[in-house]
Amino acid sequence: MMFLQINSSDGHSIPYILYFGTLGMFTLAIALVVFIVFYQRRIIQYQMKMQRMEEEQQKLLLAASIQSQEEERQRIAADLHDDAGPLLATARLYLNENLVHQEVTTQLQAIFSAKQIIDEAIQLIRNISHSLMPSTLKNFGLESAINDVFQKINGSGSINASCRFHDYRRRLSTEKELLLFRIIQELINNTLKHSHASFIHLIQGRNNDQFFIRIHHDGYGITQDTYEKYKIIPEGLGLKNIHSRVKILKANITFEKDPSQTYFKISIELPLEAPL
Amino acid sequence: MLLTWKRYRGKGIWVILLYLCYSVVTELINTYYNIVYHDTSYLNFNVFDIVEYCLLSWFAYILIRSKRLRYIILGLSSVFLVIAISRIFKPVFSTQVDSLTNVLESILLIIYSIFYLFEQIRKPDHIFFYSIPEFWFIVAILLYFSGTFFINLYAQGKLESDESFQLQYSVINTAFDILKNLLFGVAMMVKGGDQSNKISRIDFNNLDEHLNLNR
Repeated sequence: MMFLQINSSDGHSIPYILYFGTLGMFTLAIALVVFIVFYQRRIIQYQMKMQRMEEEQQKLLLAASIQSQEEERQRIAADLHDDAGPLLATARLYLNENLVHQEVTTQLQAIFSAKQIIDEAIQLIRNISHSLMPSTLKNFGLESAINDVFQKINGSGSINASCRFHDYRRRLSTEKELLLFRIIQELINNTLKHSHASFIHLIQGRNNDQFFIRIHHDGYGITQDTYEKYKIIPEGLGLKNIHSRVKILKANITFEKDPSQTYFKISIELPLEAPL
Repeated sequence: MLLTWKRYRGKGIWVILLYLCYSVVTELINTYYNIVYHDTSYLNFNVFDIVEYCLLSWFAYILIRSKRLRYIILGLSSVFLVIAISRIFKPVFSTQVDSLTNVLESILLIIYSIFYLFEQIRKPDHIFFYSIPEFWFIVAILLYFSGTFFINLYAQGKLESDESFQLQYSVINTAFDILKNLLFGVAMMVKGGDQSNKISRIDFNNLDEHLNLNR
């Protein structure tokens, strides 16, 4: 009130202050409203952009999943058509109608050959079946299945592969094991194909309610940036499959190079209690 | 307002309706007083400010969701009412325009408007919150009280004696009053206030879900 009274005595200064003050306050209020409206619009635009990116990524993942399924079907079709088909056709040739008119030794020879071929076909179909769902994984769990894979890799002699499961007394659910196995399989395949590594080592452990797998190798690898990039571009089918499986598992995957720059590390961490 | 009454079901609309009715009644009383006694009832003016503050702060209180901001409104309103009521018993209350009450009212209502806008930035009621009536009511309040802030600041003592000031006061106050009523009109016309348009209203606790970000 003091302020009012002091200024009120100055008859000339009041109108200017009044006009500028009123104009200033009004402009400020308008500016505030305009700023808030534009700011909110920017937020909405940003959220829309995020939504579009998410949709794009979903589409890429779906496409990768469909392509992967198609490739798998083609591989199975090729295996059946090129291997199992000719084997069974040959066995049929041995066991044709004329066989009854042949001599006994010839008949026995033909039956023996047909049996060998059928055994081969059975083995082939078993291999196809195992590649779809490894029996070791189903019957004995992730640890045995991974050990099997690593033994086979070691057997080739080109790379030194080892794995150690520190705490796998309680098995994960079958679905989780299969998803994790596929992720590890894809990572190992990528390492074998592209990294030119001399060793590959896998360790498993538990940390409170987290289950983790770490894979180390000394070849050429990718870092998290590359992985994130491949998630949003059409190339990199394998990595997209890994990403979609990781998402289903509600897990985290990180690709990094160790501080000494001598090896690459891939870590998969998943919550033990999270349902699929 | 009556024309759009059936369509409109915005929050706190009845407070605005009450405020508009009270404004009309005050105008009628002032006009009557002016015609019959050839004088201005400053008491009526000053009482109007207090009631206006109560109604509009109530409206802001209804709109604001944050408990903390609501407590602040309650606290500031208590302080305002104590000051305003203490002014009633002073002789100046019935003979002059009470600038202190007026300015305090303006500042507080501007603050509440900013509270509302700030809250709407953080957790909007609507994807485009300027398409809901509440936003336009608040903008009307903000612009009216910002525009008339300085004229009210200088009104005490001058409005009763200075004829040129009376003219200035009348022009500025009427201009902003018209602007306020126009914005109230815009608020009534905004279709976002129609509750049948449920798509436009969002669950502010789950904005991602609303924008389908989790698909």
